[in-house]
Amino acid sequence: MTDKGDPILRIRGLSKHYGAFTALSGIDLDVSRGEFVALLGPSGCGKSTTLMAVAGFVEPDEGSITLAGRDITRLVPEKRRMGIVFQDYALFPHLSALDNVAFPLRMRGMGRQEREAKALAVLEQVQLPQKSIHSRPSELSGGQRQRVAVARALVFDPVMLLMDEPLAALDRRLRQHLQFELRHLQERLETTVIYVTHDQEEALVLADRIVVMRDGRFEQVGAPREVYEKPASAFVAAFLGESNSLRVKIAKRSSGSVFVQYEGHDTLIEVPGDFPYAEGLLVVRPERLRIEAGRSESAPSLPAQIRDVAFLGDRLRAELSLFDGVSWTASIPISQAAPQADQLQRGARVSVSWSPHDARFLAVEGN
Amino acid sequence: MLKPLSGLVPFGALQAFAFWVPLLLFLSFAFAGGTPWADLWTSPAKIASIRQTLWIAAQVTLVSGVLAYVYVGALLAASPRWRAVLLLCVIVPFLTSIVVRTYAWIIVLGPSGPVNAALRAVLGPDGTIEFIYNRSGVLIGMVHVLLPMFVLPLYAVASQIPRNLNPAARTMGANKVAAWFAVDMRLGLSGAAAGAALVFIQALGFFVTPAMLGGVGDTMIAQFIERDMQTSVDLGAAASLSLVLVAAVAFCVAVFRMFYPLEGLFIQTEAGTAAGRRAGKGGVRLLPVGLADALDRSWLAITEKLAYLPWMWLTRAGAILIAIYFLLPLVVVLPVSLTGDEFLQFPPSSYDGRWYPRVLLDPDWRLAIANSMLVGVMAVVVALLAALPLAFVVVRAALPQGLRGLLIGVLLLPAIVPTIVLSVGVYVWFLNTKLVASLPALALAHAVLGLPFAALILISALKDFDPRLENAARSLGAGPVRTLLLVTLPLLIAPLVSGALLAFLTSFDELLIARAVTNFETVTLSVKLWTGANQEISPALAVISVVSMAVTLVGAILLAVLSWLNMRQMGPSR
Repeated sequence: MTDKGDPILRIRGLSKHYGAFTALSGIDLDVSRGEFVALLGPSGCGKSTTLMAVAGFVEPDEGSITLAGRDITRLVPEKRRMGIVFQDYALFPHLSALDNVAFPLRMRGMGRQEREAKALAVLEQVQLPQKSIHSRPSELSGGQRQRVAVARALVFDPVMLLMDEPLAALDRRLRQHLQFELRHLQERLETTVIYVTHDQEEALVLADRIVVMRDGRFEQVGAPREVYEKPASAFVAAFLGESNSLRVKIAKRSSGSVFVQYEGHDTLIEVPGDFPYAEGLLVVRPERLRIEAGRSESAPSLPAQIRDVAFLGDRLRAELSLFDGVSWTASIPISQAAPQADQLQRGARVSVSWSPHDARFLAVEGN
Repeated sequence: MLKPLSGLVPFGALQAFAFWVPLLLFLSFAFAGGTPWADLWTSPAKIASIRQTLWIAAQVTLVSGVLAYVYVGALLAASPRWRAVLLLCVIVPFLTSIVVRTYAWIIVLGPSGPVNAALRAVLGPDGTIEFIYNRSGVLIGMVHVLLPMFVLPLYAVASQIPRNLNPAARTMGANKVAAWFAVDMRLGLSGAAAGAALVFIQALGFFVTPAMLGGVGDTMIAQFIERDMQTSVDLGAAASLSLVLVAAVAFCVAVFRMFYPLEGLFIQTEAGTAAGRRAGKGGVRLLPVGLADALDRSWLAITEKLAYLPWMWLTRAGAILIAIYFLLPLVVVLPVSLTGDEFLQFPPSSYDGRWYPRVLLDPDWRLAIANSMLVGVMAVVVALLAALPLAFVVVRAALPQGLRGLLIGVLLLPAIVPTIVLSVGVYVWFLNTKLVASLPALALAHAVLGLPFAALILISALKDFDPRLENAARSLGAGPVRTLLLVTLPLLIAPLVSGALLAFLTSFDELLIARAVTNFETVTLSVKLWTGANQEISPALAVISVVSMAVTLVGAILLAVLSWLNMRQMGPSR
C-alpha cells in the first residue's frame, strides 16, 4: 500500500535539541509520492518540529532531509516548493481571498492576469463561494478560511503539502465534513501530504499511514487499521482510541499463545503470540468486549459488575468495575444491547468476554 | 440619578477655562489692532523660520522612522528578557524631562564632554567636532526626544502581527526581504503612520531643544513666538506665527484622520485591519497591468539580492547602538553630579558629591522642588476628577458613534496643539484674570495637558470592565454609590494610579506654561533648571537632573509594576 516507487521525501536521523530538551531524536521517515501521512501525538511530541524541519523553519542538529532526490536540509524555506497550511491558516489579513491565493504566484514573478486566473481556478476547486473571493479573511467563516488556506498552498503546484492541524479551529460537524473533502481533493490531485494532528479520529479518517510520535521519537508507524488494532505499545493503545488495560503476568506458555493471569486470581486468559517479557498489560478495546450473564467457557472472560450505563444513541456505554477497583469500559451496539436490556442494569453482576485475537499483551512502559 | 451627560461638565469646564479660552483669545490677536497677520508675510526671517521648521520636522521624522524600524525589528526578534531591557531603554528616557535630557546632551557633546574627549584620544588634539549649537545638535537632541514616540506605536502594532504570517510568505516563495515588505511592513503601517504623525506634529512646535542645542541658523517657529513675547512683546506677531503653527498641525491631523481614527495617534488596537480600512475591494489599479508586472519583477530581483545581507545581525547591532544613544545622556549626568570640581568638566578630576548638599540645602532649589510637587499633585487631582466621569460617559452612555469620536478628538487636542502656543495663551488669559503666579491656576493648565493620557487609560480600562460585576453588586443589595465605591473604583485602581502618574509626570516636566506664568516665588523645578542651563553649565544642574530623573524613574517603575499587576488581575477572568 505504501509502495509507490521511490520515496519523494526521505528523512534520515533527524535530531533537534533546545538546550536540554530533545525535540527530535534521530527519526527516519520515507514518504511515497501521493501518500497521505499523518503525524499523530500529544503536544510536545515533536510532530510540529518535524513538520517545521521539513518546511525549513527548524534547522536540525543532525540528520538529513531529501526531497525528490535532492538534499534540502539547509535550503531556505522559499526554495523548497512545499505548500503549507498553517495552524490558524496564517492568511494575510490585508489581502483578499483571491490576493492571498495569488501571493505565491506573485512571488514567482507571474503577471497579474495570469495569476488571478490561476488563483480563481484553484479557489473553485476548493469550492469557495464566488461571492467571497474578494473578501478579506476577517470577513470569511472558519470553513471558508480553511478553503482559502488550502487553495493558497496548492496554487503553485508544490512538490508536497504540509498541514499543521488545519481543522483544529473548526467545530466538530464542519471538521468531519471537511475531512472527507480534503481526502477527496488529495486523491484527485494525487498530492503527497504530511498532516500533523493530535486528533486520532482525523488521522484514522485521512491517512494512508499514521506515525504515532512521543517524546521526539516514532512510537509506531503503520496503516490506520494496523495501528488501531495492533498497537505496538500501551501508549499507542491509550492514545489512539479508548482501551481497557489490566496488569498481568504470564502463567503458562504454549505454542503460539501465552496464558496470563491477574495477581491473586486463578483465571487464565489466552493471548495469541509469543512475548519476550513475563509481565505486561492486557489490552482490549471497549467495542471488542461482550457482556454475558453467566460465565463464558469458550472465550477468555472476567467477572465484573456494571457500575453505570449510558445511552449514546447508536450504542450503550457500560462502566464496569473489575476486581481491586480496576475499571473497564464496554461499548455495545444498540442492536445487540436491546435483547440484553435486563442484564445491562446498574449493579448487575456479569462477565465480560472477548475473542482471544482481540486482546493484546503489551510491555509495561519504562521496561 | 444625574443626567447621563453631566459627566462631561468637569471636563468641559476645565478644558474651556485652561485650553479653549486662552487659545482662542490669543490667536484672535493675529487679526487685532494693525495688521499682524499680513505683516508676518513681509518678514523674510519669519518665512525662513517656517520653512526651516517644516524641514527640520521632516528630517527628524525621517531619521526617527528609520531608527524606529530597526529598533522595533530587534525588539520583535529579541527574547522576552532582552525585549524588556530594550523597552526600558526607550521608556525611561521617554519619561525623563526634556530639559534634563537636552542639558545632558550639552555635557555629552560639548567640547569638554566624553564624546569629544574620546575623539581627541583617537584623532589627536584637533579631533574636536562641534556637535552642538548647530543643526547636528538640534537633530541629535530632537530625535532623542521624539524617537520613543515613533518606536512605541510601531511596536504596539507590530507586536500584534501574527507570528506565522512571515513564515507563511516564505513557504510561498517570498525571500526574507520580499516577505518583510509584503507582510510585516504592510501590517505595521498603521503604527508607523501614528509614529510619523506624532513625531512630525511634536517637532513642529519644538522649543527647548533647538533653543539649547541649535545655532543661529536653526531658529524654529516656536523660538520666534517666544522672542516676540519676551523681547518685543508683540502679541499680534506671536499670535500670527502661532496660527501658522496650529494650521500646520491641523493639516497633519487632518491627513492622518483621512486614513485612521484620531485616537490611533495614541492608542494602537488592531494590526492590519485598520491599515486596510479605506482600501477598496478587488484592489485599486493605478498602473497598467504590464507596467505593474514589470515593476513587480524588478522589485523581486532587487529583494533577491538584498536577502543575502545578514539582516538579523545588522538589526541587532543597530538596536544596541540606538539603546546606547537613548541611555548615554542619562548615564553621563550621574558622574557629573558627583564631581568634586567647582566647574563642569568630563571626566571630573575627583568625586566627593559636594554639589548635592549645596543644591539640596539651597532654599531656592528646595522651593522649586516643593512648588513642582505641589503643582503636580493638584494637577493629578483635577485631571482625575475630570477624567473619571468623562470615561464613564464615553464608554457607558448611549452616544452616537460620531459624537463619541468627536468627544475623544476634543479630549486629545491639548496633547496635539503645540504647548508653546498654549503657553502664551495661558499667560495672556491669566494676566486678564489676575491668575499669574498662582500655583493652583498653573495646576489647572497642567491638568488639561495630563488629562488626555489619564482619560485614555481609564477609557480603555473601562471598556474591558465587565459590567456584570456591577449588576452583581446591585443584585446583592448595594446601591449605585456603594457599587461605585466598593466594586467599580477598587477594580479600576491600577489604571487610576497609572493615569495619575502620567498626569503627574506631565506636570512635573512641563516647562513652557510654567515659565510663562510663574515668578521667583512660584518657580517650578523645570523652569529653574531651564534658567540655570541658559546661564551657566554648572554641576548644580546635574544634581537637579539626577533628582528629576529619580522622580521619573520611581514613576516609571510604579507604572511597570502596575501594568503587571493589572495584567495579573485581569488575566484569569478572560
